[in-house]
Amino acid sequence: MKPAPFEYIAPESVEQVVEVLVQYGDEAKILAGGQSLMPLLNMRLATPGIIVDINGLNELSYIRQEGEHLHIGALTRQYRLERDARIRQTVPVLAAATRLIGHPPIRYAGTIGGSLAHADPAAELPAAMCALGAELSVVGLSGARSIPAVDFFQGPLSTAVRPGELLTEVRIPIRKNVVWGVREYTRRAGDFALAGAIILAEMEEDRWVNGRVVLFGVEDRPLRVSHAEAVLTQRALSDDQADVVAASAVTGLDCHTDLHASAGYRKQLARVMVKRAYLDALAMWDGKRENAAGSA
Amino acid sequence: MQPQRRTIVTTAVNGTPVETLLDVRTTLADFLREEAGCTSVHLGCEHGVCGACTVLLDGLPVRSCLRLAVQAVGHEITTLEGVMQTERGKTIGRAFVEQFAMQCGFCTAGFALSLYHLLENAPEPITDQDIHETLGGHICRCTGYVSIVEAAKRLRDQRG
Amino acid sequence: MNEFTAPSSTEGRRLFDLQAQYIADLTPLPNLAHAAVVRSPYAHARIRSIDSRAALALPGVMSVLTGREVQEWSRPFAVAAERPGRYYSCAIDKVRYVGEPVAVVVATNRYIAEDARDTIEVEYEPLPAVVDVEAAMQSSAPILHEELGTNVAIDRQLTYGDVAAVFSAADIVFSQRYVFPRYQSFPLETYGIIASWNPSAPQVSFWANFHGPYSMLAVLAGALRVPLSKLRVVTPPDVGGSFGNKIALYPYMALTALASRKAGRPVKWIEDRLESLSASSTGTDRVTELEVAARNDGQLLGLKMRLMDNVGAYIRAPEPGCLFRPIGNFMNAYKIEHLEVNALAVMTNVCPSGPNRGYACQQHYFPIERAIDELALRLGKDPATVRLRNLIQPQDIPYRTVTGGLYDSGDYPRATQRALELSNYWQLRQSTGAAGPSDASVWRGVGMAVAIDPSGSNMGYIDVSKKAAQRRPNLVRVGSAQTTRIYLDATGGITVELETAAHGQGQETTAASLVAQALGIASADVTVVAGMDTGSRPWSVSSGSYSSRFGAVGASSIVAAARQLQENLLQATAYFLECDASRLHVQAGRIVSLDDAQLGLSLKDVAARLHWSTGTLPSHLETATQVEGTFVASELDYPNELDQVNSSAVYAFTADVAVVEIDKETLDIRVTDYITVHDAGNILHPQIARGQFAGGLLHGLAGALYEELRYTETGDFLTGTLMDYLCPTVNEMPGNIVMDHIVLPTPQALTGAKGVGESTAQTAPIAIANAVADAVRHLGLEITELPLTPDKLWQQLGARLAGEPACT
Ligand SMILES: Cc1cc2nc3c(=O)[nH]c(=O)nc-3n(C[C@H](O)[C@H](O)[C@H](O)COP(=O)(O)OP(=O)(O)OC[C@H]3O[C@@H](n4cnc5c(N)ncnc54)[C@H](O)[C@@H]3O)c2cc1C
Ligand code: FES
Ligand code: FES
Repeated sequence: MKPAPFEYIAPESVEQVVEVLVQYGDEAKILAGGQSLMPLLNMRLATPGIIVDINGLNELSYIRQEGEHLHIGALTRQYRLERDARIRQTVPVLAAATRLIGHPPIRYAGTIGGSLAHADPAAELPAAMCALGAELSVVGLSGARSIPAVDFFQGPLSTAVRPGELLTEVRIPIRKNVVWGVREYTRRAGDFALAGAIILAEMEEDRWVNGRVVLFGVEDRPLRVSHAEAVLTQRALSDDQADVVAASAVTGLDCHTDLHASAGYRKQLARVMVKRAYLDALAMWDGKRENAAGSA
Repeated sequence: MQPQRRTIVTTAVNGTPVETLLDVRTTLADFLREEAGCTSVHLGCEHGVCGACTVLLDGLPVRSCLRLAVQAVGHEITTLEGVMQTERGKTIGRAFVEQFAMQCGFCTAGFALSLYHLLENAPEPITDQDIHETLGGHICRCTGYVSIVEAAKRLRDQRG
Repeated sequence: MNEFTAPSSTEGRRLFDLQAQYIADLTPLPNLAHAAVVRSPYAHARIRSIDSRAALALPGVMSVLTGREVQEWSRPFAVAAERPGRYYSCAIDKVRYVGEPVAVVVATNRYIAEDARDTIEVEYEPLPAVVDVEAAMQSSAPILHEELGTNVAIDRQLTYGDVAAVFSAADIVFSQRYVFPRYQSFPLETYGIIASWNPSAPQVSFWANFHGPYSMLAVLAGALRVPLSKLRVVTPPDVGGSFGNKIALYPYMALTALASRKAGRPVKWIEDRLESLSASSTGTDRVTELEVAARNDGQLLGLKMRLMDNVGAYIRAPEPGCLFRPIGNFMNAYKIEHLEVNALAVMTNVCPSGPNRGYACQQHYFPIERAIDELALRLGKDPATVRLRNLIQPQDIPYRTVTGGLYDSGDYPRATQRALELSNYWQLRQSTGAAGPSDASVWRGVGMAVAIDPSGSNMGYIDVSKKAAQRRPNLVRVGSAQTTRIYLDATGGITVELETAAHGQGQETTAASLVAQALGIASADVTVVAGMDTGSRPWSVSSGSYSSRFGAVGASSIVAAARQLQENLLQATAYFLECDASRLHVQAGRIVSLDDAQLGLSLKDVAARLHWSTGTLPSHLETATQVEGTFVASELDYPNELDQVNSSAVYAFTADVAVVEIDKETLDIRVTDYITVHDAGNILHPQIARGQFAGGLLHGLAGALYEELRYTETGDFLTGTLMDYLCPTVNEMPGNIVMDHIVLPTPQALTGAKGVGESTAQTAPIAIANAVADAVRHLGLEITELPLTPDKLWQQLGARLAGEPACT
């Protein structure tokens, strides 16, 4: 189980990466954390002609706040998302979602950009990006373009990144007074989710606004369910509402069947994960209101 | 910046410089085993799941089967061979050996390195959950994990 | 490493001293070349042609071995089956499972060998495939081995007692079909072999993580067409686990040897995980049709069993062990005297099967132990009550089973009661299944299983696969023998040479302590030579570490050797001090007089005199410093005309209780508590024994809930990576594990020890299944097959879940 032969290049700038990608076209494969690509290389399921190692691009590894946005470089390692104080403060759901990825050694190596570019339908970070309304920057010969997360993911292992481009950054709008929940079901701790859900909303007095309901692991890409988002923010907030939101979230869902979950079971899991994520958010809301009441 | 098929890899393994001419596709694990004399690095799956090949890269535990040797240039690599030169490494060894936290031993170096990292870096207190998360990234087929968890808890309690 | 305060693991010290030697670490010969195996992508296909030209043109490639040479240079492997098919180490004209070897490339390194492998063009003509054991028995099924005209390799009818009579006299008779799945031993270290084909002797040398039984070497030699004495097999000191898997290493030893013959160089092959999952060996999957006859008071009267084993594409030794290995303990720990068995081994287009920790016992007990729960339910009794009522009682022991087993020692009711107590079973029963609080988020269940754990295999059992008339006429008694050598050096140092090919059982640690105890010295003063080498150490066909035989057989040979050395020391001291040997004893490393504590010699003194004054010694002391202890398990017979055989040297016992929780929404199944009580005789080393119990639990948990090798109906392999084949991690283990034991030493072994390595692997799948059944019975669910996955529960429960509308 050894990789097939390839050439190796380690560009020193984003421009150089683009240059190489353009020059080699389909033959080139970007290597970031390697936690998805290397297994494919070892199994010879991927046999690129040239590996473009971007790990030397320190300029792509950062977490920065600029105004109302958080900027995260594509090469930022996943474990930093979990631990970074700004992230935990401004987008805690991202930290929580990241913790669900594999195991510590995977997150020490894996990058945010790699996970997004790999676009596994069961991955946490793509779903988190959709829930957070992130914008993803890709750079190619003709410069940079920005793609909203929901448009970025186009199918299993398929994204809006075009040949000759690389993903350089994600930009996450920072929202205030957010409640959230992220839940997933796996057979073993650390596995890819059979189904997962992220719920996110802003608290406004006695209601939630700008609700987000995102499912992952159920269809071929992360799925924002707008009809459930409507239910999330329009109806009364209560434990009973959890079932309503959950039922709405899975209405019309067209799950796939695989080795570990049939479509029907997967749909059930999706429903339960939405429900539990909702209840987490609700508990958070209650907690925050109590705090507010306490400090008032 | 030229594409390469073979290249000279210069790196520090357990504090010792190593320089070898390698096919660029050589994995870090194979390099460590075959060129750097670190046979404590075991291959149980070569696709990142079992954890037997775990090494410390600049102090962080990573899978050496999911990394190319060329990527080690400019980094510090530590394997069980290196960790056993430290006091903490010896303490870990003692705990494993006395708790019988290994049977066939094939998984052991991976567990030991992840625990080493935890003990070196985790803020106090190390919780049971931290221990489970750390050990959860490794597969052991022999022990049923019971003795490994005991060794880990003993090490935690002795950390001081 | 430095000093240890507590008893510690010798093997572990070697590891942390960075001195471990696993097969992949070895380069015992110069000019090693590396192999990669071309494997079949088809479940069933004819090989039209193989084109290796591109491979041979690659720089670094030395040779390509194909079925043509394999057929010319070797013979099919021998196996005890009526209709075996022709099994070579490599496909000849047809492939019969995904992953079957088709060719072997040898090159300067593994990378290049794999490059070459990928250029080899094999033209296949696909054939219809069959993977289901019952389907394969249909007359319309595709036939794997045309020359046989059937896929049924073995069809044996065994009858014990008067089955018809007890069935007609029974108050209650019921039948059920049970499915036991295909899962693996999954040692973390895969197969590894270095083979060198020499034009001169020894003709073939191997370094391999082979651990016996050494009878497999006879099969190997036969296939390679070389005398057994011309094989040399070295097992390195460290082997990364097996649990039965590596018993089936020998076909790859043949393949690597032939690859070396072709390449003209020593060849090293390290199996990768994908190969291991698809094409090494796996536990046998089985469909059982079970019929039970019982009385209304819960007394079991008789069983009828139809066992349909899926042995994969080729029936391969030690199969059909899965059918016959537990023959002496077919009735588990119950006093049942009437049994009818139809044993079928069926070949299908999947990987060949073999031993998997607990060889055959989990397959065999699963239907019986599930059916006892079912019987209890039907009679309105508790499953524990029904078990206790039917257990063989301590006063019946030694107990001769109707199938020929001789249960040597034990108190099964006591061990069972202990498990019930420790698990708080009776109280738990009040709150499981329907009795749980309706507002709880989980259904709870409690289940138990008991098992006779046979150890020290009597290899003669395998001939039950043949009708009495066809058995080997000149075999009378088969045995289970093991030899150990001990050397005393000129300075009093003690060296024990293990002949057991250990692979993670802590045998070095145990051996040192056994010998140290016998001589009254410290374990640290005993050196143990690990690993194995057939070229220099004594062995017999039954040597090795398998069927948990170390405690009873292997360790007994160590004790025998230690006793012999002790005796020699007494004799020597008597000679040197001119006193009576019977008035001497060994104490704290000295041989001293019982009458006068001042009179004696140190071990060192005696050793020095024995070594330096050999010329002056009487003949009986000339070789006193080298002893050989051999232990032969007694009472092991050859199958008689009634098909009875005492298939194991000793029989341990396990009683387990599992508590599970099933999430009412996700159907996630968690084992929260696991209680296992063993009657394993004397415990030679408490920590090692504990490790074996816990490891067995993990193994059983894996089979119950997580691991399954799966194929599509047409034989495509679905679980080729560890993302699909789910070995449990620490996070899946029960939160509360209680391991306890009672001690009833066996008279059959010098150590008084019975097996510890396999028992929980047999009981855990069953106890967990029974617990799940208890949790969901009130919902109308029947548990008759493993593994139990949330998705499977969903298939049956989905529509009724928590009042939710059914999702499709
Ligand atoms: C045992 C194990 C368990 C795992 N469990 C999970 C899990 O539970 N959830 C989960 O989400 N993931 C899981 N992963 C995958 C892990 O998160 C990967 O890190 C991630 O999917 C890929 O990130 P990477 O940086 O490692 O990328 P790489 O593996 O280096 O690359 C992945 C793909 O993205 C492309 N790519 C990388 N960076 C860029 C870029 N900047 N621009 C354009 N293309 C790029 C590469 O060419 C490649 O095709 C697991 C992995 C392992 C080995
Ligand atoms: S060998 Fe690297 S994780 Fe298994
Ligand atoms: S000790 Fe054997 S795999 Fe862990």
